[in-house]
Amino acid sequence: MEISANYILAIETSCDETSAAVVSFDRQIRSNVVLSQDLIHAPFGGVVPELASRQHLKTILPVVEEALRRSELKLQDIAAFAVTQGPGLIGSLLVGVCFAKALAYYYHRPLIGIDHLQAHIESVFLSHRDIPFPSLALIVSGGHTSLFYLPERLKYRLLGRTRDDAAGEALDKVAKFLGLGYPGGPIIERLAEGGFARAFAFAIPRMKDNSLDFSFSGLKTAALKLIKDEEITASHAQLKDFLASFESAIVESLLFNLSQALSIYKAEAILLCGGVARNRRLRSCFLELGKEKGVKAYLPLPEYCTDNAAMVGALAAEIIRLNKPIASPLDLDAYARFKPD
Amino acid sequence: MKKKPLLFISNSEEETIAIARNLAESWEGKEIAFLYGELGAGKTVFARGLAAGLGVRDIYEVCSPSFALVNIYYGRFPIYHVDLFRLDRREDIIDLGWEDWIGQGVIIVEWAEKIDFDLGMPIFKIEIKVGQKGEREIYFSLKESDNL
Repeated sequence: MEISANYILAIETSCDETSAAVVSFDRQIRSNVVLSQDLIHAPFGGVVPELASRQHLKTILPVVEEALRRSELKLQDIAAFAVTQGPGLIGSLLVGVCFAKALAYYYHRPLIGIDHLQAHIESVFLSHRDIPFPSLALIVSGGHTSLFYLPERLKYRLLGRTRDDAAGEALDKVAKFLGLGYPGGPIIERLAEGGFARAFAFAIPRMKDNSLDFSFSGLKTAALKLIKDEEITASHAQLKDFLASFESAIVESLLFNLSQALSIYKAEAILLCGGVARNRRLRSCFLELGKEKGVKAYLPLPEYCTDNAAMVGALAAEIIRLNKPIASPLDLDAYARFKPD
Repeated sequence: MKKKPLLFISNSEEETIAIARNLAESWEGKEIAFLYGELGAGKTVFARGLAAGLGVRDIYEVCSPSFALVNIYYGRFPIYHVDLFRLDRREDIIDLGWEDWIGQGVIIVEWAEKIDFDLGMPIFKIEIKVGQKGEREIYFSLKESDNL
């Protein structure tokens, strides 16, 4: 085992998942522990941590210990700490931030605050090292739908965001309304398989002001109206077609903005990330768009789409490698929405 | 004695925003609004109007907090925009941090029917119903705290 202290311990608690990872300065992932509702087993007595910050308080220590154990390293071997600062649920973020601050203070190590959306973008770089710039990155998850312009490595410019619901949220809500379960995205994907995506017509929202912002509230409301008018239920004969049509409308709406951005900004590549980037329809249409527009299209591995600390550690490693300034670590604060300028 | 709720009819998102903006313009910074209505009724749109009335400049900053549970905006006062959609357990709802918000700013709550405890403040109750032709009936009433 190497003694040289070239490892980062990264912590991510922006929402439901408590995650810790050990990542080397050269971006090798030594461990990546994600405690989500599905993965809870014996040590936690099967208790499902709800998203409340108090639950992170209970799980953060065992998760960090497990990440260290799997990496075969001790806290003394850690050269720097990294933590998600935001955006996210503020109470949850604060648990990770305070925990990481305490470690950095005690071990006299630097603490690197990481933006959650930038970390999602970094998940694409985990498996692709040669992504050309400038590029465009689309982040789609249960809580976020944002489009960024990346002029060069570690430079991010927000082009568009959702004005109401996130894309994943619209899927969740329609699934819940039909009593299909939670989270809605994967359930809808499974039930929509083989469905005829043109069976039900959805109007794809367009921004009146030529903005690259997203809106999914209208699609959600249209879906709920169709459910009522057509009396669609979980056992309806056309459920498959309905879900395929709805999922397809969400995908089309997401990629429409990306396509618009491509016609405005010169970009060599497009990136897709976030939890909804696991959706097969979105993945395949995204790759198709890349081909059609003649730009390279990059996706993260499915296991790095949902929230995880490995992407946080990888971004911290890149920040260290490029000698970016690390601002006053112990004043680091969490933020709920977009990264303050 | 129960007062009859006031009724407003809205035929568009813009009208809903205008109704909410008018309501919140005179607020003094400690009000609590409970929003009721089915999925897609327009609760977030109404919240956007309240935020506009409270001086939030970029009203598109106001978006659904279903996932994040609470969004905080800054107008003339802090605005805590809470959404209980995906919370079902009482302790999770109590745990959200109400004590940090009450009296510090305006609190707007979507899916407020999930709150079964008293916040110790008067509550503006706003119920949005979808009418036959897609118009929205917005019922407005004020409920005093049980503890006052």
